[in-house]
Amino acid sequence: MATRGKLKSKRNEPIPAATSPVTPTLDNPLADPSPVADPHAEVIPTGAYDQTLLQAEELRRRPYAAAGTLQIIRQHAKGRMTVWERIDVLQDKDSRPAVLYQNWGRNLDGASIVTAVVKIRGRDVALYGHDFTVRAGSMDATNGRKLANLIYLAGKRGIPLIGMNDSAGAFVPAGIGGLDGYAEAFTALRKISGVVPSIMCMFGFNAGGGAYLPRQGSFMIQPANTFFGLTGPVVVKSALGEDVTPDDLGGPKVHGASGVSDITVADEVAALRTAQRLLGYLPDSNKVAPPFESTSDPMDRRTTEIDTLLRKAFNSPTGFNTPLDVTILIQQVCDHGDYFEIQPDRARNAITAFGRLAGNVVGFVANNSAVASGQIDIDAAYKIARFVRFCSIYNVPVIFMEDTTGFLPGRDQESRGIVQAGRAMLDAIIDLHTPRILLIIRNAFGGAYAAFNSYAVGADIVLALPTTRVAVMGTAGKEYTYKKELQELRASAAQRLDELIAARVETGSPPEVAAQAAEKEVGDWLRAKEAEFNQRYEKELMNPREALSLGSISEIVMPTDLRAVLGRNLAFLLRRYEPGPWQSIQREFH
Amino acid sequence: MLTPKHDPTTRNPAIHRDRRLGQSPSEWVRSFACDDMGVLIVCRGPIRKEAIDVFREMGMTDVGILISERDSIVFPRALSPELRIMDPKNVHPIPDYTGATKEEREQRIAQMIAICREHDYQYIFAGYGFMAEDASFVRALEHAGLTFIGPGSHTQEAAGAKDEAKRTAIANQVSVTPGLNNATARTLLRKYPDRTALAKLVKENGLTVPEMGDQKLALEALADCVLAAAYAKHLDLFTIEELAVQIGLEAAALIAKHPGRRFRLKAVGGGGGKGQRIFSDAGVVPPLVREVLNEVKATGVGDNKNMLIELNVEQTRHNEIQILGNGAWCVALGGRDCSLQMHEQKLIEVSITQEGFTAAIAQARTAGDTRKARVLESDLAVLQRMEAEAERFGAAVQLDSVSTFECIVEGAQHYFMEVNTRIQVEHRVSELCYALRFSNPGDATDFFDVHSLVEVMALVAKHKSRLPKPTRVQRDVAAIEIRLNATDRALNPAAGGVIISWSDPIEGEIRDDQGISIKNPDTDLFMRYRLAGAYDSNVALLLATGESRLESFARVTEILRRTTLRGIDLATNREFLFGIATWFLSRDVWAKPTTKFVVPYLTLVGELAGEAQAIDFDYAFQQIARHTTTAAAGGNDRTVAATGQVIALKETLLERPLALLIEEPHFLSAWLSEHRLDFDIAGGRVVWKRNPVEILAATYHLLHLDDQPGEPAAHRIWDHDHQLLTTALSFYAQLAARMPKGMSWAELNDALRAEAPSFCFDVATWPKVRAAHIGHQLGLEILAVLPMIAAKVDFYALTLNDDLSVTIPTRLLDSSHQDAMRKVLVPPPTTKADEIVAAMGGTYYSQEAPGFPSFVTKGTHFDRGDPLYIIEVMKMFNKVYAQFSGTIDEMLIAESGVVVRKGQPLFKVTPDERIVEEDPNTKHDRIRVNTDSYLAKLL
Repeated sequence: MATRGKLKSKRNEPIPAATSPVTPTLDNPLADPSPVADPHAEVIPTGAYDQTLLQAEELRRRPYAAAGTLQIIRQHAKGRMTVWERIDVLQDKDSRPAVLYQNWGRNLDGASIVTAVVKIRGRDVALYGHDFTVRAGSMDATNGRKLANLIYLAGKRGIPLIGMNDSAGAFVPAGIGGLDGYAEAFTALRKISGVVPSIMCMFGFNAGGGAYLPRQGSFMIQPANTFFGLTGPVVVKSALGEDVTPDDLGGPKVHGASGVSDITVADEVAALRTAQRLLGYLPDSNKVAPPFESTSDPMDRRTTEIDTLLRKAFNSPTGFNTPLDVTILIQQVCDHGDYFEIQPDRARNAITAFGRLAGNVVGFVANNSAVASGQIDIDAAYKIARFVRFCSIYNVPVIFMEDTTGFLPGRDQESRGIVQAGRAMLDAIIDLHTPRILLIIRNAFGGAYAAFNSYAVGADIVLALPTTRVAVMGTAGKEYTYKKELQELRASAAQRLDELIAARVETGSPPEVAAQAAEKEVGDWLRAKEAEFNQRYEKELMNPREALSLGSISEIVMPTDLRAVLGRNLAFLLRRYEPGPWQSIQREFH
Repeated sequence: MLTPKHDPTTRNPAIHRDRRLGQSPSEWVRSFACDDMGVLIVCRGPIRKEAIDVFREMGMTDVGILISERDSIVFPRALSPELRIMDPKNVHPIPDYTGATKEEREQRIAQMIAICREHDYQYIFAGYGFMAEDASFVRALEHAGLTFIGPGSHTQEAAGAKDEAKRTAIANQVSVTPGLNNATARTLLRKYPDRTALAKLVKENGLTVPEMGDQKLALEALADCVLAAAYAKHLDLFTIEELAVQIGLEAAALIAKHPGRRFRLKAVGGGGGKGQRIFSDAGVVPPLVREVLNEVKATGVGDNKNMLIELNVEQTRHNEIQILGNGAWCVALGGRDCSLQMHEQKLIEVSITQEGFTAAIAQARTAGDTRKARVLESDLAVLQRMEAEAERFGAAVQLDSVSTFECIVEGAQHYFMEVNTRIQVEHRVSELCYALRFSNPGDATDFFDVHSLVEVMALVAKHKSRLPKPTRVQRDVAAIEIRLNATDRALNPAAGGVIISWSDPIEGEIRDDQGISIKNPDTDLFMRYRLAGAYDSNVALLLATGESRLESFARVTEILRRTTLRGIDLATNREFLFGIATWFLSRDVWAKPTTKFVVPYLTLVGELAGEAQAIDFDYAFQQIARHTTTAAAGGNDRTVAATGQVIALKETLLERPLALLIEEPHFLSAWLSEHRLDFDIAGGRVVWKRNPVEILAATYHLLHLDDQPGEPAAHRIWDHDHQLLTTALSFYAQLAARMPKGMSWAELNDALRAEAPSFCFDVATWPKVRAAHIGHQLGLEILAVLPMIAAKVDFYALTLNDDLSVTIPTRLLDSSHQDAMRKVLVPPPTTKADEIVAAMGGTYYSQEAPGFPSFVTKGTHFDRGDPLYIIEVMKMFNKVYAQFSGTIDEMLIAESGVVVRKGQPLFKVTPDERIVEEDPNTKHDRIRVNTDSYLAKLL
């Protein structure tokens, strides 16, 4: 292993030889002379050729030895691995990284960034990682160019990119060179965005360019005890006088909730393993489909549990207004119940997840009534928009599961721009060019119905569970549907009130008392009557009938047949889908 | 059928083999084939996966399971892992496995029978589920023409009901505890005191009691017959209150007879710790009666409400004998010691066999330990008596499957407690010690061996009386099982965690994990599994065997050391189990703790945790570094610099393992047990009896941080630390080769202090040896903090005596101290708030729906996780759960249907746990002062 070599060469270096009896050493003076591994090594290399080889060997080792044991200890003391150790976790056990530009840099040491092509589950993956033990992994023009070259290579050869970011930012002594370095890398990453997918692991403490660059990637994974952001707490303190811990400023809780980090994990190893697992759902490039895994889970497996779940929820005291966890539906549909949630810490009123159906990778986008009633708020809209766009670019078919009463109204949402966010979601859905299915679970009201992969916005097929309630709006819609009848009812209430007061006064009540009692009685009566209109509205309009009659829904699917029906439709659509880059006119927003 | 090719747990030959008797060359053996059996497995837990495996290995192709809603739709990622290897057509949904009420239970039974009919399963297997011991369930199956793989209803009735069992025991010269076993009969007789009154009662209720005319029958026995007839007709002949009064009187009489002793109240339908209470005052008994009946769901009309009162054996050890029969014969398969338990839930079960005792006795004699030999001889005698009694009992009740004969042991006395007429969780402990050999009565060379109790249950169910009486064949001498549970550091249930990965089983590890380790059959990746905790906290059973008890203990401890579970919010008792197993392993695995051992032990670990938290290790390490560098200042500048360098190079080598030990007090306990003979403490100072370098290496091993190639660097010793440690170890190994044999560490240390060479070193080498010695020892002073913590909390006061009993210091038995230490181990969720505010804006409801009771009202005590209210947002009714426990002082929203803002106060509350926040500076100073007190003795 590379790391061993590095240590061996450095082991005794910092300790001066013992000259005084009490000067401590850390070696073994009783050790046998090292056994000779190479029989030719006995010949002392004296020729010019041998000298050349020796020098070459020293050069080959230099990036591994990097800044020496004390620096490595400093890295380890923080609970962090070195870049080489991280590579060992990530790549296949029997493989070695093909390191690129390994001696680039003035000191011929690789300039604190490693670029390589590695094997992960047999696939070629372009990989970079900052070596924090050298100059704190900072960036200058050299490693900016080096990184850009790797990124372009990934794009050109059509292989995914993984970044292991652990950098203090621009190398200040390099001056503008550091900024140029970042700019080059930014540009390269933007150029391959949409060509090959990328996964960014955020290790250590990354500020400024160290945060912006990776966020240009497809997915960010952040372990606990790390920070990234525009600036660190020290700058925040000096600029704004705010006292804030790195964790509260740019830790995984903060970024996981905002969606800046797509996935948060416990530690570095978990981050790398999560990257491997996520990669299993991603294609090499926009030209090919994601990896297929044939399944032993029968496609005709009945989804009885979905039936039970809906029965229990809808037969419960809260009836059709009972929240339910939509991830259970996703689980029951997927091969062996295995799925992978993206942005699970953000806006779980919407679920975005990868799974497999009959072995094909599918993106799931579902409203989750178990959280905040499943309403689409700003965060949910952007979460969906981002995910749908990714699926569109990388040949991932999408199954939408709809169960929402609509967008979240209110001053807070408006002032933060729900209209813009909702539009982003709508545009992403309109633009989606991979096979796309809508399954309506329950509520599909108003604008949310229209936007959420209806036929009109481009769905390939719209399916509905029997519990579907497509309507322009919820029970408030009775005001429009039964306008005249309600007007009459309210008018009669006023009349009724007058009559009741009169009757009570006649029987001797003082007028104020009579009015009070009568108002209560009429109020109760009116509420009961209006509730009847609510029920009538639910019965007459909140069902799939009208949508079926208008062809807005293709087919009603029974809950037990969800896997089979979704599988059958998807299989057809995928048979007729040619994976390839998404070519279209550039629109004004995305 | 899907083959579990991605199931790492099926590789162990101890529990997996080809069991197809139909493939045997012998015709006689072939006649016992079971491959045509269709079995529906109606339980869950580790036994379900085990039964699937065993039945498939027997050649059965038609094995079905039930899947309950709680295993499929209550939480995502809690889907039964067995589904990954099941054909969906053999998976049958059911709301739950047992039903919450008697009516529901009857419904479930009917559903199970219907599933069997529809899918042509002729056999039902119930494992150790609640159904397994339900005689009415078994009877219903028998009536439906199905065969129950387990004891028949006649055995269940004769042996399963605790009162009946005790009578059978007495009749078969089985040792029982003093007490009362017919409380219901005596209650009945208090109301209807003679035959005339009983006869009248029988007539009035239209009961069928054929024994009525039998004048020879004792009155109490006759009362039992009347009661049995009443159960059959679903009638109650007295109220629970009347029963409670009677039991109260009986309790008072018993206490008067045995003053100062405590008694145990047990419902006949209880088991597994349920339906039992201990009392010492008869006054508390009547309310306990109702409580206990509620617990075992026996408050319905016509339920058998009989209860036992038994003398509580205080120094209890819990032993049990595995028995097996076919109705005609009954054999015992050795025993299990289940004394290590908490709140009556077993944690560790150890095999007890005659062979094991005999070998251990011989070993103790050879070692000259006659005291131990005598104790073990007495235990062997007890085991022999228990096995003989168990066989007599089994034969008397015509046991036609497996059962467990449970006893408590006090000194050389044992008392029969009850028979569990089902396979037990810990059954593997016995099957790993003994196989069963069934021989052709006509030809002794024609035989087959059965290595699984589940297998033998199926064999008996199908072939019954055709099976000849087997002989037992020794397999391993010893076996041990530990229960891996989802509990936190203080062993409180901790459900909700998600397992993300679980290391593959190590060589020899037997892991019954419900299938959690079965990988995704398509991708071969570990599948996330949520420990939903819908049933109990058990995650898996881990077992190991050995040529001796010591070896089995060592192996299971090794399994625990190397088991790596990673997850989200995941807490298991692995660390606790590792600590407690090491406690025994490093003292004597033949130790005889009572059932009361665990809580005091846990309290002791809490004390360790409290003390460890009061030490600032960073500061201590810095101080030691400074001190050593200053001490070296007597040398030249070069020496000072070199000393500084050495300390700097050891930063992670020393701080990393220490931090882990301090963070996990169960590991600290394990460390203190493992190294208890490696040091002396004199005048508060630690004197090492072993080279601290070796201790440090052992510490890395204990923490499972050895240099394991292929593991992530973060999961093993850092490379540079490994380099330092191996250099140091090889230095001392080579030094040891030069020094006189048997030289102690202290002597070596002294020799190396001298400037004059020892051990025939030349003058040139000697200074280098000394320099290396000083270098390798530098900074290791900090290790001494660990023994000092032990000394300060008096860790070693929990001692093992020569007679293998354990002395528990009285302070560890104090229940308020126990509670306090538990809170040190796991601080309860606390809050500063005295109100609960709306989690979101919307319409507030205090109850589930109109007509339902409010979730809480003024004065209600709520626990963390209890539902408090509902907020309706856009027609969704979101139930909101308590984040902490407390009491409602005031309901701030008077009625349901009111719109509330997010953050609006809803209730005034008093939390159970208030934050008593220590001022950070005070805390800092306190820890500093305490750390300095350690350093003062260290430097």
